[in-house]
Amino acid sequence: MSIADHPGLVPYLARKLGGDDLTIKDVWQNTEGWSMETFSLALEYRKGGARVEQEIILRRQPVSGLLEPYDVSTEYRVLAAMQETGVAIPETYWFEPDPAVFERPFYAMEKVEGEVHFLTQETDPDYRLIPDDQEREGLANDFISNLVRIHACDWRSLGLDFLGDPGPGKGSALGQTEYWEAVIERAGFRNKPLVTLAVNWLRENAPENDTVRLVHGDYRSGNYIYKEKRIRAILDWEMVHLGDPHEDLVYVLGQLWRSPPPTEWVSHLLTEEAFLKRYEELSGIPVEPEKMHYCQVLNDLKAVGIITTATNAFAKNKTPDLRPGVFGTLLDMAYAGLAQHLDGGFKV
Amino acid sequence: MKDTQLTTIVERINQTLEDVIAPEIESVIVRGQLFAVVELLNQLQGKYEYRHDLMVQDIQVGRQMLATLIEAFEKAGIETPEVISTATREVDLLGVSGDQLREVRSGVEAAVSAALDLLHANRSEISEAEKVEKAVLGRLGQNILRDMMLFRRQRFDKISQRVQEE
Repeated sequence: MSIADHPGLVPYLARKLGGDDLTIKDVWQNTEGWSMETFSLALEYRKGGARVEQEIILRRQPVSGLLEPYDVSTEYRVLAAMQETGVAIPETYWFEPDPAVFERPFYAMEKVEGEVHFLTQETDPDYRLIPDDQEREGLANDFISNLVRIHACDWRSLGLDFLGDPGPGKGSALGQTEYWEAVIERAGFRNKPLVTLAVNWLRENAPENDTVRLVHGDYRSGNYIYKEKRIRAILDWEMVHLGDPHEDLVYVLGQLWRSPPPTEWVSHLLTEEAFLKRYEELSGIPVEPEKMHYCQVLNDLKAVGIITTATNAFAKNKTPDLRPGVFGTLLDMAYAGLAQHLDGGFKV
Repeated sequence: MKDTQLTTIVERINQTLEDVIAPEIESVIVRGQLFAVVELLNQLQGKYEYRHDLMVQDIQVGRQMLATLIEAFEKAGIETPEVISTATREVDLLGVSGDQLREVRSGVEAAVSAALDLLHANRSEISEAEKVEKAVLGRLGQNILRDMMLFRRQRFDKISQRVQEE
């Protein structure tokens, strides 16, 4: 169903923006992301006697997908609360819970000008996603400083405790293990022996974390907008939660968003050593190898959770979208990562 | 993906071809070709299934894991629950359909999973519990490697492109 199928959206937007004679000049639907639905609208209207041209983003809750069950309001509330934290994020406008307006709940935000890296070897034949070293260095600096700001923000004073404070001690680790175990259970894959081994290992080896931080949950190249050598906005906050910052560090180091050999830059930006060293220096948070290993296994379980959710959505015919089915074909790769990290001797 | 019935996958593909893609095709010739694809896939229904040899291998490896786990329980004097022991019973793996094999495999996997939970709950009583877990992980790893060898390179860039509504 397209924008044209929602004639009520035009007067609604005019009301929200306080304009007259509003028209939608152009609509782009972003399909790079496979989860939330993102529409870019080019609007034209009159306000205070002047003609206004404005581009906005509508981010809508999908019917189903990789990260269901969805609640788009969480992402909106986090972004709205973080406007003054110095983290590069889009300005949020409003949240609309009424599905009568645009079929499902959505929120509106600023369209940030710039580009998003599309991580595929087809567009990176010489293994250099960012060929300009000066630009890569600039983006690497912003990449680290934004992550540090996210981890440093005072989530209590920002009112983000609604995300669920896991508390001190083993709460962060056990909370996430329990969360992803439940996701895999809902998808119908909890009885897989590898999942059982992983869940038991994660319970047995849960580390302590007494300083609970805001965790982005999907922090990598491809999830930010850049322009003129700077990161303009960190995107995709669907997996944001409170927990151990090592989760984000492990996620950043993921193989799927590294440049291929010989560089193997994390998120196509810098070496693993440089990333961790600069993160430690800027954040003052020591990187603990044991926690990194634990979060790696947790991250692998998370990958299994996301892929099995997609597989289940596809098999249960929740949407006419075949992409979750394609995503489901990655399950063996996720199993391989999990097995590899549970047992350092197993290599793929 | 191997846990989803092949008939389900083909039904989903055909449904998207008919309901989502066909209405967008203006050319009668191209639309005709698309329905030819749908027809061919429909006619294949019931005539194909997942590779038996791989499923039989999964089941056999699962039973080997169960044997290792049950041996560890016996040594520790822990009674093996029926849900675990019944999965080790031999069944004729040649005279059954692919869907029946998938069910057998699913049952063996659930039994291994239950046995691993039992092992975990009794770690203090079972000598070399970690060694048993490592052995199970090693066997699982072999089958994962096998499945990885069957993986074809994906072209996500062909799937995820920016589209403009008219």
